[in-house]
Amino acid sequence: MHPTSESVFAQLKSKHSNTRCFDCSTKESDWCSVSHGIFLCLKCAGKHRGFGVHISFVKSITMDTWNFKHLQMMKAGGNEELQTFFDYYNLENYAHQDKYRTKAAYYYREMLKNVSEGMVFDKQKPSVDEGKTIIEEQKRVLPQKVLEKPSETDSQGIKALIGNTFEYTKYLGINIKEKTTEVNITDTEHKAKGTINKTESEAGGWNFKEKFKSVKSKTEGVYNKIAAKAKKVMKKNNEEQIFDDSKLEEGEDEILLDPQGKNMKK
Amino acid sequence: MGGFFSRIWQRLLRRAETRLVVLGLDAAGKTTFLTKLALGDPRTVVPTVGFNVQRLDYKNIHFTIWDVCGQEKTRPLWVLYLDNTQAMVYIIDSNDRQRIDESIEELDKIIREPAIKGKPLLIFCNKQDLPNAMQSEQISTKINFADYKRPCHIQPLCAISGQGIQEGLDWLANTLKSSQAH
Repeated sequence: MHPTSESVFAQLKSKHSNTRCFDCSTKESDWCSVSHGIFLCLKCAGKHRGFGVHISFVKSITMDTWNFKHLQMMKAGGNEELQTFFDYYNLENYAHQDKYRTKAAYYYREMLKNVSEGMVFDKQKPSVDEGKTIIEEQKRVLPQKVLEKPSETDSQGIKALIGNTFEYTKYLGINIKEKTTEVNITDTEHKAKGTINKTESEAGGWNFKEKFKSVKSKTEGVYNKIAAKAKKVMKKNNEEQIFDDSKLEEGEDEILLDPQGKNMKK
Repeated sequence: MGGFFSRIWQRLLRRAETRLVVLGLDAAGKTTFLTKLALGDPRTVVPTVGFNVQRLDYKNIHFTIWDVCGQEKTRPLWVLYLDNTQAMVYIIDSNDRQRIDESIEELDKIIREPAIKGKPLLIFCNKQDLPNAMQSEQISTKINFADYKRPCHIQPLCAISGQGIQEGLDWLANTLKSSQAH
């Protein structure tokens, strides 16, 4: 049977160094950083929680339930052990948040995890200079609006089609306008057809009529949606006009204040 | 006619009082979220022992926000804070990949309470700025929204910078307004 957390902590706290906070040495150590195997006070526990769980996982001795894995990590660690490790790298002058982001701290956490699980850890300790370097993590930039994305492929496809047909018709219009100044009117129809066929074949099997039809059918749904939304907004605006504060205050103040009284006078 | 205007008068006078409860596992960012709302600047907070209360006016709604301790042994006490609440905010630490399932289990447990039956639920996926954080879309696939039978919304959040707070509260205010109108 596994030992209870109470008995484990009673045993660990019999060591004098474990009765004090690792960071500020106050006589309070009700919180633990499980990933470092150290004891902390309430205030320093707050700072550790700010790092994120990938750096320091904080638990309360009294208010959390402890599993075997985490108890093993606390047993493997200890305030004195981490202090001697940090002393080796001379991290005294480092700021609180930088101390736990050094390469040495990363190594210590990995080692503690492996040792507590009973595995062999033969990774080389980083050298003093190497261990002092701080590993900066890149913060991710939040997109402004993550939700309510329309499916990209749909909107892009329709956009591309509309854009293409617009360009195409524009090109045709310019072409025909240029030709009509030179050519007789009887010839224009024939010539225009020719240009359409020519440009269609040039564009690689484009069929103007078919494309136009497909675009129309695709955009029809969108148009209907927009129209329905516009109607809704119009209706809402009308409703809001009735409830508009300024209008009510101008004309119908009396009625508003005492509707019953006004009715009684009548 | 008189009835119509008195109804408007009532509507103008009505000040919606709303009680909100913020829940989530320990170190999810509940107190940081509340501090950001109340004071506008992020600061290092200490683990909550007990609870914090904050009043806030937003979009003509008067919120009273309760932020409750999330340590494992105090989670059974969450039920006591649910009486008379109009909505629930649940904060998930997206960076804590090992405990996301535990977090959702706790949500499943608390959501069945009759005190908050049908009340809107706003889920914040906090710590989205951290490089290893799980995307809110990924988290939403783990949650069975159909079972909750209430208006739900999932919102990515970075409580320290405040990104995502406004979108979430906008949704909450609109949902509460529409539910009160009926």
